[in-house]
Amino acid sequence: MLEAAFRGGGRYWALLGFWGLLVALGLGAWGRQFTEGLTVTGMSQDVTWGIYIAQFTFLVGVAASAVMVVLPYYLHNYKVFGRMVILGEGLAIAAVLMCMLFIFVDMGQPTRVANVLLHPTPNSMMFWDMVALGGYLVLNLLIGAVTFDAERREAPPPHWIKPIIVLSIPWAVSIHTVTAFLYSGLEARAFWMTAILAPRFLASAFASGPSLLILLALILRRFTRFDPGEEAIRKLALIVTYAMTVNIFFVGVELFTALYSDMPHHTYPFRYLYLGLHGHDSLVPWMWFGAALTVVCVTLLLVPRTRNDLRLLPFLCAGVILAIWIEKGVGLVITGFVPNPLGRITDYAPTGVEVAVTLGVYGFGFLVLSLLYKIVVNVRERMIPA
Amino acid sequence: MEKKTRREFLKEAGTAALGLGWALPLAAAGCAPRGHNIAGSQRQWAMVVDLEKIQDPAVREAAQKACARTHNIPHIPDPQEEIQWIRVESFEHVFEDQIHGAMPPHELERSVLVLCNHCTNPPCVRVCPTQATWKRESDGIVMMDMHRCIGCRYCMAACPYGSRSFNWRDPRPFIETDAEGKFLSDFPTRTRGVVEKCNFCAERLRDGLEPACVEAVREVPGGEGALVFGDLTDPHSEVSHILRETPSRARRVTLGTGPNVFYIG
Amino acid sequence: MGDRGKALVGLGVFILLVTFPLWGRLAGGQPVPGRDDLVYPDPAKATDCIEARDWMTANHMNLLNRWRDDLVRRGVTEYVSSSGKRYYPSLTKTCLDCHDDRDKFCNRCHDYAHVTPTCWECHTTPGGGA
Ligand code: HEC
Ligand code: HEC
Ligand code: HEC
Repeated sequence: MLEAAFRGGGRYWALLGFWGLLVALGLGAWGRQFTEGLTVTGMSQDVTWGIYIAQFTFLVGVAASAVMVVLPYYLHNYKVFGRMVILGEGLAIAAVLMCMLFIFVDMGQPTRVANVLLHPTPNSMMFWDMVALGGYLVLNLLIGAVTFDAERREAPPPHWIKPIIVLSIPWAVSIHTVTAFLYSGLEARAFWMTAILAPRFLASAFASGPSLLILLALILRRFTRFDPGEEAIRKLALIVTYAMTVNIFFVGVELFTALYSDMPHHTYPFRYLYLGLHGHDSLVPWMWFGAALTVVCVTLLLVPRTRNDLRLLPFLCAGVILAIWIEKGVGLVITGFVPNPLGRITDYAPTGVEVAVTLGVYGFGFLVLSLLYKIVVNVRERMIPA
Repeated sequence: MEKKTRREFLKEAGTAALGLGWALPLAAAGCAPRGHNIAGSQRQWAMVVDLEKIQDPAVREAAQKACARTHNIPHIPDPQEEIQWIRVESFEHVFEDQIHGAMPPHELERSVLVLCNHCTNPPCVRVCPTQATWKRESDGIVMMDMHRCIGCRYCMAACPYGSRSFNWRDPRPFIETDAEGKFLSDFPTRTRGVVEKCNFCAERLRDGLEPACVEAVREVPGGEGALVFGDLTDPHSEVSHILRETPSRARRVTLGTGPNVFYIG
Repeated sequence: MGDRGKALVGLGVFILLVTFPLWGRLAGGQPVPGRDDLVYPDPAKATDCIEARDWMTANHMNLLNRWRDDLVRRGVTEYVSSSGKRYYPSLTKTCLDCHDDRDKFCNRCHDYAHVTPTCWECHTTPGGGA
């Protein structure tokens, strides 16, 4: 079954080659970062986390969102997601791997990474995050392999896997919760220290993850004989709609609390994001673009006719992904550092090296995803009566 | 029929488990060290900074220079890569939560020396994933183990005082040396990729000496007592005495970190 | 050769490559090569190391790790050797005080043994030498 990953047409190899190229680019850039130090990045004493940790945060959400297909299928026996589940698990695996790599490339002393396990520290959220992510990877690998193997043999999955699947559901919630706690437990950073951060993370994750899944499903439908099912895609679109609406609500709640109370440390970050603070306004265009995108996409998603239009849907999904990416991958992390503890504002923009490393990690993730999906598609195509 | 009950059960178990998703991190939060008193440490080193006396630039420079030489601290021109153990900031920035519109400018612009507060309840220690930074029980110093730090910079995000610096590049080319190219101290330099900060001169305390900055300001005319160092748990120590007799302030006390660097004057 | 055969050969080559540092050293011959090249402390200054020589050769890295944790983490400022002598647990101030030619002692032997401890990125020789 695994050998299917290495048999394919020219187009498939071109795709793998493209991901490989990104990985090579990333490796080269990371090599430079490794020898020269993190000085080659745009981060600084004031903004100590940048694009890497932001991508990590965004991708934890993507990983967690697999639960949106696993839960209806396994707990509510919602058969429509039958062919979608394995895609969700594959996406989770690739996303978790990318998360781990983003943490790794952010480290100042990558050769000491084992210290996190050699000196386990339960009071550190970073430690829990590593534990949660590692566990989630193992769970998804196991569940994906066992259920897919059973399906291939057209037999029911073994009984012992059921409790593990059930366990994977809260586990998915926990990975993104712990990631939010990473930020929201810091009294030093008013922007992050809000109880709604975890719910907000989950809502935006359940919008961006399923959107990505829809895009992938549509691509598979277009280029292979494997069809995850139109109804499944429509149901996912509905999930995206709900999640995105809830997310807007959460952001609104947060804006109200900050702006109505008008406490300086709570308003500064929002002013920095949407208006610019003391002339620092590099994020402003991004944020307004993201806001506009959100409004347009949610409106079109709320209208059943446009939501169910499968030609429009990929654009809406891409819009949702981009909007959430701007929210988490651009705005959230950097703004936590504004202003710094001494009231100063330092701008951050990723350097070429950082962008290259980031692309490399994404390349690796999509390489893994392509291989996994290839295996799935091959087996599924063979099962379709010609 | 039988199958359905099992599914029902699974459903319930799943819902219950969904709730449990929160339990793991919450339990973790429960593990976080707490307590806002210094009973946890047998002693607590503390420093009192006399704002009047450090208005003399010579005093501030003496403190900074002694610190840099004692610890081989590099001088990196780019302020966003500079390593700072003890730095000068203006009053309005340091005590942002204690100023008001009616304060005169000369008040707001006063120079303040800031350094690690060696908090009683240090957030940096709470977040460090490897215990590379920890609060030493014997004397309350927030220590840094350069051998263990993985350079994740979580402590820098957690510190409400901006007291920590990361080595973005190899610091050695920027460290002051003598005519023969030798460093001025045997204190190990640092390498790229680790976080560092003021250690209250733990290495000098070990040898029965005072922190280098405290010693240095005393040499400057008028600098006597600009920085006073001592044990806060000892009611007879000079710092305890000063804090009992004189009005004092500390940085961002409402956060509950319990800073142990105090300011008078 | 079938797919499985190829895979096994590939795996074998991979394992060989990854474990090169291990067997590479084994193939290098004696565990402590080229001792003649090493510069030892002047006998007038010292004739013995902290512990027995053979023990030092095999365990000096563990001793250093212990010293490091003793001094930095546990606040222990004294090491009592098995012969009852007391030492201040410091790499620069103690080890390198006797072994004053670091390059021709520590580093030379490490070159033979293909190990590159990172200690010197931070630790100096006595008197502040890089
Ligand atoms: C009091 C002086 C002194 C101190 C301190 C000292 N050494 Fe030594 N060391 C010696 C002498 C002398 C020898 C040679 C012993 C012999 O020939 O029996 C030696 C031998 C060694 C050897 C064995 C070399 C071989 O030929 O196998 C090693 C390794 C070593 N020392 C490492 C260290 C380390 C690491 C430290 C610090 C933890 C240290 N030494 C501290 C004096 C010292
Ligand atoms: C006689 C040869 C020899 C001498 C002399 C020697 N070493 Fe070593 N050292 C070794 C060998 C061999 C290893 C690797 C052991 C292993 O990997 O199992 C090693 C490992 C180390 C390590 C651990 C490195 C790591 O990456 O884990 C440190 C630290 C170290 N030596 C310090 C010193 C210091 C300091 C001196 C000089 C005072 C010194 N050594 C002198 C042979 C020597
Ligand atoms: C990132 C910089 C760095 C590196 C790399 C490093 N150290 Fe250290 N080391 C320090 C600092 C800083 C201290 C604290 C000195 C003090 O408090 O007096 C220290 C202290 C020590 C001490 C106790 C005090 C002393 O003066 O020696 C030992 C022993 C030690 N280190 C061993 C090692 C060994 C062995 C290695 C290599 C395997 C190593 N260190 C690598 C920075 C470093």
